[in-house]
Amino acid sequence: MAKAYNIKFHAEAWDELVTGVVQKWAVPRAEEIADACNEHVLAEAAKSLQEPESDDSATVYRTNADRVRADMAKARARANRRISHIEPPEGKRDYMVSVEGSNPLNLKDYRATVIAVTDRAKIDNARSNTLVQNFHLASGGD
Amino acid sequence: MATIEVPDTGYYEYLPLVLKQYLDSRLPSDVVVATQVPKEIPPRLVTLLSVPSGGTGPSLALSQRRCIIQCRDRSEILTGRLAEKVRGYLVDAIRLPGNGIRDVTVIGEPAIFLDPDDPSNAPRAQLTVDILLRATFAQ
Repeated sequence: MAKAYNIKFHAEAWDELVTGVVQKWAVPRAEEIADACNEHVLAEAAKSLQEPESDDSATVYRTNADRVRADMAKARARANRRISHIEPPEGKRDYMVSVEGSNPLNLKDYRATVIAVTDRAKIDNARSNTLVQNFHLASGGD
Repeated sequence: MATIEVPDTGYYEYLPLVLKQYLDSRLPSDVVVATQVPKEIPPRLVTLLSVPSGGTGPSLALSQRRCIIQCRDRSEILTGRLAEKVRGYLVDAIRLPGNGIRDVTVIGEPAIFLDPDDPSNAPRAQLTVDILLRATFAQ
């Protein structure tokens, strides 16, 4: 005669196991991505210091709309350059690793993520796809 | 595709070129598919950018490549729809024999991702795909 069994998972121990795996394996890999991204932000900020602002005083615009567009582009570039020199707040970095998950954990819930914290990091990522460009570093070098 | 001398160990065609040829055959003729953003941006544009990918493929003849695809169209909705169309065609690419595409994984689904350097905030959608490519071997 068939017997019915109930299997009970020790949910707390399971959560502890998942948390341990993420902390031991995922976080260092995410840190590698964050480090490379932070280097990129700093390199871009240093590069923008050396670039002189474009001088278009001799440019002849066909229409006023062309001139307005060019002025807007210059203003945007100036604002972006200014933002690229704003350092992150004390104790923060431009790209940081965040570990998150609800309590109790759900499937695929606990994870390590790299986030763009500062405005200059967000701009840097939108401009250069820095996170995706460095995502391969999470493969652990094998 | 032009015939080229390939090493005995196998040659993987440059992924953006593979995708350009495939998408050119699928998308409407007014959509420009390019590997770089042209100086004069056409109203409907798909650009393909190769980015580093992690591990290798499961064999000598297969290898993983990663590509960021950016789409531009006349309005936000048209841009989003173009990106979704591109996604659909790419997922479908494994059905076309001879293009070297063996598997397609969309790791970044299409979404609007504005260019911070564009003062007009023209809509731009982006998706990221991993492609498993088949190598060509010397005959």
